[in-house]
Amino acid sequence: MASRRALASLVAIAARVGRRRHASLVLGGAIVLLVAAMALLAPVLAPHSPYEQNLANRLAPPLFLGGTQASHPLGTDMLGRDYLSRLLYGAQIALLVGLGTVLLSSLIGTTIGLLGGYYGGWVDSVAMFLVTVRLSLPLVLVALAVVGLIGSALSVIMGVLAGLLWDRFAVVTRSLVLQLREREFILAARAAGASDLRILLTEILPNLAAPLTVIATLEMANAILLEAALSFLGLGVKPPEASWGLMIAEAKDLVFFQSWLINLPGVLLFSLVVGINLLGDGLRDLLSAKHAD
Amino acid sequence: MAGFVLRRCLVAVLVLLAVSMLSFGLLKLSGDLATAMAGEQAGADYVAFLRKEYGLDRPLPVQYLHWLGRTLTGDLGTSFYYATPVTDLVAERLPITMTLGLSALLFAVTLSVPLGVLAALHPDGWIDRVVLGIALLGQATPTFWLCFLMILLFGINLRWLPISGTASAAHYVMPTVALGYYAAPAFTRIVRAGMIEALASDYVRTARAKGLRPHAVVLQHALRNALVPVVSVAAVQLGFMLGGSVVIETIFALHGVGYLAWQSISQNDYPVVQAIVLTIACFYVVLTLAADLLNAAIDPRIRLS
Repeated sequence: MASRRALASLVAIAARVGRRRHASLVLGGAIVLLVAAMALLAPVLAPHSPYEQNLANRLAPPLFLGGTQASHPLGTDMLGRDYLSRLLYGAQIALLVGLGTVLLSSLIGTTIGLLGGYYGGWVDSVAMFLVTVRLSLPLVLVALAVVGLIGSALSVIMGVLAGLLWDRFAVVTRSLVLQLREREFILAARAAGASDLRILLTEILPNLAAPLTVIATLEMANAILLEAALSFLGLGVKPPEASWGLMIAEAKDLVFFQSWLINLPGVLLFSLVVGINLLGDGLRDLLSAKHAD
Repeated sequence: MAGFVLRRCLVAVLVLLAVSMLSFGLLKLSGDLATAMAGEQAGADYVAFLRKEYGLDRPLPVQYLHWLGRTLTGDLGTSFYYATPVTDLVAERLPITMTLGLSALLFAVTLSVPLGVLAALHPDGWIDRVVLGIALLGQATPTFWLCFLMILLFGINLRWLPISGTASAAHYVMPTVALGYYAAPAFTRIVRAGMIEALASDYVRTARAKGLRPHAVVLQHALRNALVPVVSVAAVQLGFMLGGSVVIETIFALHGVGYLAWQSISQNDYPVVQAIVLTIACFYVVLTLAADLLNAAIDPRIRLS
C-alpha cells in the first residue's frame, strides 16, 4: 500500500520534471552530480597522488594564471603537492561528511519527531524540550569543543555534526505527524489492529519522505560548511588529508601573493553548497506543486 | 498572562539546567582535573590532595551539585593556561564579541528590511528574484572564504580597511559584514513573508480603500505588522552570532570570546571552554525568553494558546 503510494508519487514527479522546466532543480542537480563525479573518479582523474610532496616545485601557478607545467594544471601548494589532485580528493571528504551526517541526523531527528508528534502528551514535551536544549547550544563552539576532546576522525566529525544538526528534522516531522495522526487512513489502520510501530513505519513515514528529503539537502549543505569550518580552524580533518576547509587554512598566510590557493577550494565549496541548496529549492517547488494538484 | 510567564520561565530554567549538565559533562570528559591542576612534575600525594580538596573523589552527582553551586555564585574555576579565574577572562573578552554581535545584527537588519519590503511589493518580480538569489548565495558562502575575499579586496587591493585587530571602529567593519551577511537571509525571508501576508490583509485593503497614499499604507500599516516576528528572529540570530563568531574572530584577530574559545580548545583548557559554552547558551536562553515574553505582551493569541 505504502510502497505503491510512494511509487505513484515518484511517477508523478518524473512526469512533472518532463513537462515543465525546473531551472533550479536541473542546475542544482548538475552541480551536485559534477562534484559527485569528481569525488568518485578522483583516483582516475587525479594526475598525481594528493599526498606526494615535491619541495623543489612549490607554489607553481595554475595554467590560467600563466603557469607552464602541463602536469600541474592547477599548480602546486606550499609543499609542492598537485593542487588539482588535492581538490578532487577534497570533494570525497565534503560529500562523505555531508551524506554521513545527514543519514545519522535524519535518523535521530525523525525518531524524536515521530515519537513526539504521534504520542503527544509528555512524550511530546520531552521531544520539544530536547529541541530547545539543542538550539540553545552554540553550534560551532560545541562542535569544536567535542571534536577537540574526542579526536577528529571522520566518523567522529560526522557523529558530532549529526548530534547537533537533527533539530530541523525533528520539528518538521513532529508538525507533519500532528496533521497526519487524525487522517482516515491512520484511523483505519488503527481500527484494523495495526501496532503503533507498524503505523509509524508503514503508514506515516512514507508520507514524510518528500518534505524530509528537502530538509536533508539543507542540512547536508550545513554539514559540509561546518566540516570545512572545523577543518579551517585546525580541529577537523587533519593533514595531510585534503579537505577544502583545511586547504584554505594551510594557504591563509599566502593570501597576499597566492590567493588562488584560497579561492579554488573556496569556489568549489561555495558551488557545491549553492548546488545542494538549489536542488533542495527545486525539490520543494516540485513537491508543493504536486500537492497543489 | 501570569501563567504563561511562569510556564515560559520554568522551561528556560530547565533548559539552563540541561545545558549546565552538558557543560559539566564536557569538563569531566576533558580528563582528570586534579592531574591537570597539579602539573606534570607533581607527586601523587599532591594530586590526591587536590582531588580531595576539590571534591573530585566524590560521586558524580555530588560533584555536579558542588560545581553548580559554585557556578551560580560566579565561580567558574581557574584557567589552566592563564592561571586566572575563568570568570575574569570571559568578562574581559565579552565586550568585543558583544560589540561584534550587536553591530552585525544592526547590519543584517538594515540590509534585509528594505530588501524584504522591496521583494514583497512585487512577489516573483525581478527584485524578488534578485533578493532571494542574494539570500541563497549568502547562505552558501563559507564565512571564512568571504572573510578572505573581503581582505583581498578591501584590505589589500583597495587598502580601505585594516585587516586585523580591534584598535578602531574601522577594524570592526569587515568582521561585522562577514557575521551579519550570514544572518541577513533569515531576516529578509521573514520580512518578505510578513509583508506579503500583511499586504493581502483586510486592514491594508481598508487603508487603501480610504485613499491613503501608497507609501503610508506600506510603511505605517503593513510594515509595522510585518516587523513583529523580526524581534524573535533577532533574538535567535543574536544568540547564534555570539556563538558563531569563532571563525571570524580568529581570522581578523579580534580577541573576543570566540577567539578565547578556539585558543582554549587548542590548548586543552576546558574550564574556559565550558564557561564560554555556558555563557553563550545563557545569553541565548535569556534572549529568546525575553523575545517570547515581549511577543506575548504584544499579541494575546500567543499567551492564550
